[in-house]
Amino acid sequence: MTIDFGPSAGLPAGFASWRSGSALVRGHSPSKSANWFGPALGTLGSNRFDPPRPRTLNDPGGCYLAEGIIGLLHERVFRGALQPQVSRTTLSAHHAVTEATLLRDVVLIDLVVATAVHGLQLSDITAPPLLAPHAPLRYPATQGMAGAWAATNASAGFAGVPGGRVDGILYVSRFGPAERCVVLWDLAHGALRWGSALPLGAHGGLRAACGALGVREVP
Amino acid sequence: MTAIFDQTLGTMVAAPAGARVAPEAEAVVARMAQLAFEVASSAGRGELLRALATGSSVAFLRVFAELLVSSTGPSAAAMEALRGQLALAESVELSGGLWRADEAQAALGVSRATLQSWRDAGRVIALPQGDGSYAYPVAQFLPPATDLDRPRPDPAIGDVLRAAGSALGVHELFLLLAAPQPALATAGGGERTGFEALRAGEGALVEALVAHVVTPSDAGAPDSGETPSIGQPAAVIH
Repeated sequence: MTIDFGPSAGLPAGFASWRSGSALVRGHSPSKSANWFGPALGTLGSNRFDPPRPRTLNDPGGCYLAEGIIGLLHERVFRGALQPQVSRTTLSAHHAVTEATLLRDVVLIDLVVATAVHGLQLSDITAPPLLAPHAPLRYPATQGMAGAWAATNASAGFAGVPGGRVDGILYVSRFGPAERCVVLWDLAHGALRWGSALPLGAHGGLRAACGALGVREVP
Repeated sequence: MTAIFDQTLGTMVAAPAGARVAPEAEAVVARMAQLAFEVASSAGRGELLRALATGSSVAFLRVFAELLVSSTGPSAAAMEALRGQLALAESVELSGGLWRADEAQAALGVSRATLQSWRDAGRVIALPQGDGSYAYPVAQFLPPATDLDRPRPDPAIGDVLRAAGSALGVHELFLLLAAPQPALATAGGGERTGFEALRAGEGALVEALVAHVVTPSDAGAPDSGETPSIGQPAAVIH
């Protein structure tokens, strides 16, 4: 789980490298492939760094992963709501977890250590979703940023970054800022080796994660 | 300190002077006292203080029951299930309690068939009970508008139940609605439960919260057997 930031990774401040060999976890629906860089073309995404418009051929798809099972629970299961209790049966029926190993170093926009380099504060990144019905974007601020960065990545590239291209965005969970997460754009899809999907309720790390979060885990 | 065993049980129970109870009730009280003695005398001081610090009878019972079960060396799964049940009971109490079917019929002024049709149609939250019956959280019903009216189902409950689908069990949905949620905070910043927001007429917001929690972000992903091969251009992959 090695992440090097800025100059220690041979990158400008504000960028990071998640090193080859690191294992990440991906939460997904049990019937769906973990290897998915969404949203679908023509679809407006509802995740934090999805394109700020219905996705076109010019927009990268994004695959969201977490460093550990707590981050996965925050981002996929609890999603900012207080859920005092989870059932392993329900979790397994609706959520699976697949481990992905990085086959090469990936270069990321760093929103963990050097957020200010990008002119941002933590609150810009962790703003809650707009739950108002019919709101056009769920996360207007971060979706707007992601759209601009994707455009830069596809055109001039990022100054100081070798090759100018980044593979995605490194960030912290909105719901638990100690949990590091990443959205990899589809230019990095070849950088992942996928393991086998496991029902979330059967994951060996679930009990400890729920304990750490103060969430009761019942059969 | 007066030794507990120097007192009669009658001096420790807050019963009206001269109250007469059935022999069966006395027997239950005596048996409970024996049980309480066995559990309390084998528990640690911290656990006892935790029990004494509880604010309601249900909360006290939750801690006491945990002590009771843990003293018998149960399996981890049994403890988990017990904690879940007791926490649910405490949450039910804090939210305003439950109506059994006959209580709901009387309070709402409807027939058993009507109540059952509401439950079957997903218009009300019904929690299955151990005996096969259902109980209805009181908090889900809108208070009567006048003294001549009765509580009534909130039309938004159906939308909330639909939003939850099968991604949340009914107990999990109840707990979600009964817990204070930051996303439902008032303009002044005060957290509200889903039930409180529903009573404030903000059913659409509660429905949006539930939909946000349960909506999978990979609905458009290929099925698990259709993993795209490495190297395909993005437009083909997605």
